[in-house]
Amino acid sequence: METNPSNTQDNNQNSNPVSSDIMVNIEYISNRFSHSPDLIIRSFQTKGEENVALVFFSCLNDKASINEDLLRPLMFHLDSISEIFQPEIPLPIGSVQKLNSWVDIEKAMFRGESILFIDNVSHALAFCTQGWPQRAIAEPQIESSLKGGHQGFVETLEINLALIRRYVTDDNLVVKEHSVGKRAPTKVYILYIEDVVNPDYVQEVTNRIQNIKKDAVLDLGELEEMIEDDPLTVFPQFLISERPDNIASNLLQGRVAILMDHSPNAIVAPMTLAAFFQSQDDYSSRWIVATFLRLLRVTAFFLAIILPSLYIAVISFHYEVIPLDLMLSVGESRSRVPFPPILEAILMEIAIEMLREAGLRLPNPIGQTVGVVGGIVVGEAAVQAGIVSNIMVIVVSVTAIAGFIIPNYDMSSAIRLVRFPVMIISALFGIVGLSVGLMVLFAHLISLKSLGVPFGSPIAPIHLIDWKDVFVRVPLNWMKKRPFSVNPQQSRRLGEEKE
Amino acid sequence: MQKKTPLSFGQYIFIIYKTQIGIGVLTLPHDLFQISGIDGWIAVIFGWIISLIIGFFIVNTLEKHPDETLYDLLPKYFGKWLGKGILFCWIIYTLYAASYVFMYTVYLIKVWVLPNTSPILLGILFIVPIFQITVRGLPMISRYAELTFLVTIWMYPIILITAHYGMWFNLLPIVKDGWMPIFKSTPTTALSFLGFELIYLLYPHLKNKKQAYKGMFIANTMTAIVLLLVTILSYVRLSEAELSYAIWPTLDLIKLIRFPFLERLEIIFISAYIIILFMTIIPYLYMALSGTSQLIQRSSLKKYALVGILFLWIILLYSPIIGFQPIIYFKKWFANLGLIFAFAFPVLLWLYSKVFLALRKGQVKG
Repeated sequence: METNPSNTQDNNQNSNPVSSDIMVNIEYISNRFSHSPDLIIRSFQTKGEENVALVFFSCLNDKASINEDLLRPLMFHLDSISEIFQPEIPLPIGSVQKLNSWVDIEKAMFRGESILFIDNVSHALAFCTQGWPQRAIAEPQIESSLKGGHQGFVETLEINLALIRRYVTDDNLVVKEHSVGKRAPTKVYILYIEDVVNPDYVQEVTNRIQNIKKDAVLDLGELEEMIEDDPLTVFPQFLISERPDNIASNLLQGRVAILMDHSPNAIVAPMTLAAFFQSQDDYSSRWIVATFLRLLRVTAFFLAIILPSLYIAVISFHYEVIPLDLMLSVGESRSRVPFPPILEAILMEIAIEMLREAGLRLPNPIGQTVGVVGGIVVGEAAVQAGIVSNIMVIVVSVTAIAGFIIPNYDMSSAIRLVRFPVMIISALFGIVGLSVGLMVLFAHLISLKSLGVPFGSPIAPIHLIDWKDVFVRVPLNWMKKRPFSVNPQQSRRLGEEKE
Repeated sequence: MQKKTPLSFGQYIFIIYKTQIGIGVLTLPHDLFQISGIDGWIAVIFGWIISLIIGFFIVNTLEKHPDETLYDLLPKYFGKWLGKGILFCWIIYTLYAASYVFMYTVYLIKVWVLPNTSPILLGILFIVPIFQITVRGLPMISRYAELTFLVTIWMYPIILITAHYGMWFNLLPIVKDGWMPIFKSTPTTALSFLGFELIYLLYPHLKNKKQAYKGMFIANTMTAIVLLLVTILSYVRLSEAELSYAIWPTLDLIKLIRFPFLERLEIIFISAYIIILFMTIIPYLYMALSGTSQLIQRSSLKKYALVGILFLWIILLYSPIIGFQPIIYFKKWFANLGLIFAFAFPVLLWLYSKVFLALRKGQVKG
């Protein structure tokens, strides 16, 4: 679909109304899209011998639908074209729209609708006959599900909405349509449950989306960056999820969800740090097990950040902290290594990050090979060659595994990244450096906001009532209220207020 | 004029409590021991009662003006110039407090953890979080106070572990030298209770004003419990000789703890304790800054003033005035200033406000 850029900019012509002369209209359309080989202009006579023209992009339309539902009735069944203008349009098509201006017509064409021009009628009709290549619903790739639903979002907005509606069958679920991008407008849906969500969030999200000034927004990740509170931090302030059950659960907690066309994800806002450690599977497993997993994730969060730094700090500054027996084995393992601990650690961390990235980008069978080669080379050979110590290999592997446990990809990448500055500061100042580094990190985390909600909530500011679902997951019957951090309009989940 | 950020009850308590817990906890057993011997822990109870009374005066003074901080009140009570004079003295006091604790922290770390690192480098390291938190103002400080409480909660059981081999008979007989030395040592505890004067700044922000007394009581009591705990444990675990020469008996106390997998626990303890010490520096620094912006009537300069102060601290660390000995010596100044501003001033202000309000009422009537 190549359109002439200079034409697209030309707004004067665009706002012209549709002419009642069909030849003028066809002329205009074919000039406008002269560089689009997929544009089809089908002029024909109806059964009643009126001149009409059907215009559409062949790549965006379902051919069967056009042939069977439009052309066949128009050519052979309808006695007069004027029947179309009756309120009950005798065509087997879901949505029919009257369009007057060229701007709307072009938008409709790019949406995949087919346009019918009729001679001596000064408007056009747009028929919903979309059809484009799309992927079947598949299992989510990044957030795999153990017990919850196995359907993940796909690239078509309507299907994603359908997936969410299947979970939230509430008449208060509101879907607001917006469009972003000046050159290539893309449909964006804002979803929320009207009597639950705090209206300030909806207003804020709407404002931010409307203020986006960009020619095209291709992916939800881009959209997130444009609407988040602080784009300069490594930490994600919104959740991006590809699981409809996750989105549904967040909607029901009083959050706002954002869906975008051609993006197999959804954004949830506002998010808090603690919410990044929750997984949808927590609610479908036994609560004791889920609590154990939560605590495991919190431990992993701390390990992933501090373990290499702690090792560096202790080995370079405070070896007196370690008891003698342990010190001896550490010393033995390090005796052949010529590098200072920080260099050793950074070397290994970078090797692991490269292995990980290589495994991620390569096709699956080759990716596994990378893992095997990397594991053997880095784990075994490097130690035998005396480049790194055994203990360091253990430290780095535990750290890497701890980093994988965090259920959210963005959060786990952020944690992987902040590890490096903390390591450097620990190499300079020992445990004091580690302590100050963590302080700066946590101070940064609690200074962040997500849609104006403190990111550290409910940990700092403390809301003890929310702690039922942070470090532990209490039985669902005890969680009668929605999270206070999200500040919902209607705080009770169960009970009379909602039947 | 000022945009008020609401402060929850918990945040109010935590800011006061975490400001009070500072260098006092580390040194108090030694300071008390020097004056009143093993009975020093009784002085903590007296100190607690006195700070409760002073706290009552502070809240009572502010109650008449629920939307005004001390800084708003001063010009109203004392006229433009005298008010500004007193305001300036308060800035000096709070700035001194912040600077002193900062220098103290640097040297504490230098003595206990990093003897070979230059104080300037440590200073540069420390001003990063201090700047980061102070510059974002009260909402950030209140959240940070809560976080500090949560991330240092493990310190309480650690200190309690030391009770295990305690010689509790050391405390007996109670009041063996009479009450006089205990009364004499009570002002020494003042330093450890300093921090409740922040109520002057926090009160207008508090969401539910009725809880101000209760919060003041809880914060002071929590501090008193920690101080009492540390003092008594030091007296039952450390010998008299140790107590008389060790400047930081609390750390010597922690030094006694040994785990099979961890030795020299005090190194880790003190490294984590700087988080609490920062939480003493930051509120004072913030109080000084908001006083400054009140004095010159311009809040946009706050940031530059902050940068200036932090820069000054680094220069001070470079200068030969500040060293280990002067730091120990300047503590007396801090304690004395604290006695004047946090203990004497609230009482005087309370009396003055009673007279002032009575006079004004009379004027209005007449």
